Amino acid sequence: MSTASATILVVEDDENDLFLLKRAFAKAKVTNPIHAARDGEEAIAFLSRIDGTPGTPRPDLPVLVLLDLKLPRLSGHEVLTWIRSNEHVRRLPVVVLTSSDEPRDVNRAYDAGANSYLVKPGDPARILELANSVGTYWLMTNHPPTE
Amino acid sequence: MVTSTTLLAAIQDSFHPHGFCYLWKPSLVWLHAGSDSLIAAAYYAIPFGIVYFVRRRRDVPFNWIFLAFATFIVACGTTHLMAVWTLWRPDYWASGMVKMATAGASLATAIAIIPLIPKAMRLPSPEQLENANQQLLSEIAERERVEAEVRRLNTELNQRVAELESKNQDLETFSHSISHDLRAPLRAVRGFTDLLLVDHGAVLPDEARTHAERIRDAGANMDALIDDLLAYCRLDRVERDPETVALDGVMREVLQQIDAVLTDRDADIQVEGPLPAVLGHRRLLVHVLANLLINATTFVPPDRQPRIVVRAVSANGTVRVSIRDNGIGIAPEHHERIFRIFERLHGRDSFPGTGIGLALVAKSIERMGGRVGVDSVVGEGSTFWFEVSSGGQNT
Repeated sequence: MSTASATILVVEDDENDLFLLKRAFAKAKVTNPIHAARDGEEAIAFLSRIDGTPGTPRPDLPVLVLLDLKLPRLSGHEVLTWIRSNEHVRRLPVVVLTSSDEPRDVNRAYDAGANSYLVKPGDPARILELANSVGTYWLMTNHPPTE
Repeated sequence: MVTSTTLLAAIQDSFHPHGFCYLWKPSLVWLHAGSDSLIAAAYYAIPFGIVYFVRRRRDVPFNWIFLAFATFIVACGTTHLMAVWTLWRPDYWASGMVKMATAGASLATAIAIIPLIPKAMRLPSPEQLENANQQLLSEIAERERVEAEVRRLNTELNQRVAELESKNQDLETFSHSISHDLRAPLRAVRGFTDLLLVDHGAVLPDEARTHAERIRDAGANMDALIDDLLAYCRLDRVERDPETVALDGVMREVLQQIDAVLTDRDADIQVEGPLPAVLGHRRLLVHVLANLLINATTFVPPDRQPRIVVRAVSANGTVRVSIRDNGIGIAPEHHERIFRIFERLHGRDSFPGTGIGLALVAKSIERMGGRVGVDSVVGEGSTFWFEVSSGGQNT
């Protein structure tokens, strides 16, 4: 099921990482509009502004959230917890995309309700691979929540 | 002088009172009466003291003998009372009975005392008791001193443990920081260099392109170093207690893990015989064997097929695992430093690697209480070995 027009919400504070990710998605032919939130508060504000409730059509609702854990002030874990505890966005597929591979962080993310945990690769070739995989799996193969 | 009384007495066969013997001389009569009375009084009073003492001090040994004394003293006192009585009244049968009773009590006591004397001799003197007491007191003082020392050492130990735990916590924070913070700018360096080369490489002057390529390689190298440093730090974290690990299983896992490298280098690995079980940490053992095997396939002359033999020997509670290769060998003067962190004997252009592999191997084996080393001659290959406890599994 393709969702070519739905937004991808990327929550990332590092400009370079954001640029490289956007570029990688472009090379991977992912055409979805990407909305970037530079910290947790921006992300929550963006999600809160989405009109409508589950059951009504909500074209602004992101099809996927890529969430960095290390953010200023509000951490990625806290954003995730907020999403999962908010009736109108709690089903959003959230893929954590962060630099840490520490078991502590991984498990904590899953505990908070992450759907997947990805570690940002250092090798640029692998970043492209990642963009390809995410595009194929989460935007095409996977069925997002229907409401 | 014969009076009517004496006549009557002679006729009736009744006795004279004792005063008669003293010719009723008043001073003599009162001398005897007085003395005997006083004696009686004393002989009645003394037992009171004895009985009072014995009843109060129930801890006194042989306290029944004191009661025996009290008895015959009272009896004796009574005979003296009778002596006073018989001065005026001639009840000699009565006084004789009392005497006999006294004789019985006295004799009985005398006999009872005989076996008591050796026992009483053995009673410790006050001096001996005092000595024993002093000894006990000094022993108690010594014990208390030792206990205080133990408490002090315990407190110190707890402090050290707290210190170590806090150091451990620091290390965790440090490696956490490496994990996140160091890698971020490195990602940018590698990512943008890559974009430079991929997107604009065609229009770059050759030299510029070469510069960019060097930046790219340095970036990749740095990432590898950070990975290795992190692995080294993580090794310091407290593991669970060592357990029995079957090396056969470890070997299978390792061969699977490094299969791609082995195929790539066309390496041939022989494992001699079934491998024994050892006491250690499975994760570390996998790491050690993977590292040593990869090394064995890496440091070979370019035209040679790497051939490796793995074997294990059990003796005296330890297992020595050796990995023999047909590689380039290592000169004796380097046999120690190669196990140190980031030490390399060759440039990265000759053979790949950051130089941390053997340091990790050494640290891992050290954590399991074992030893590691190498036997090698330049040009004739090397045999890397490590020894760990067999945990009493193989005899």
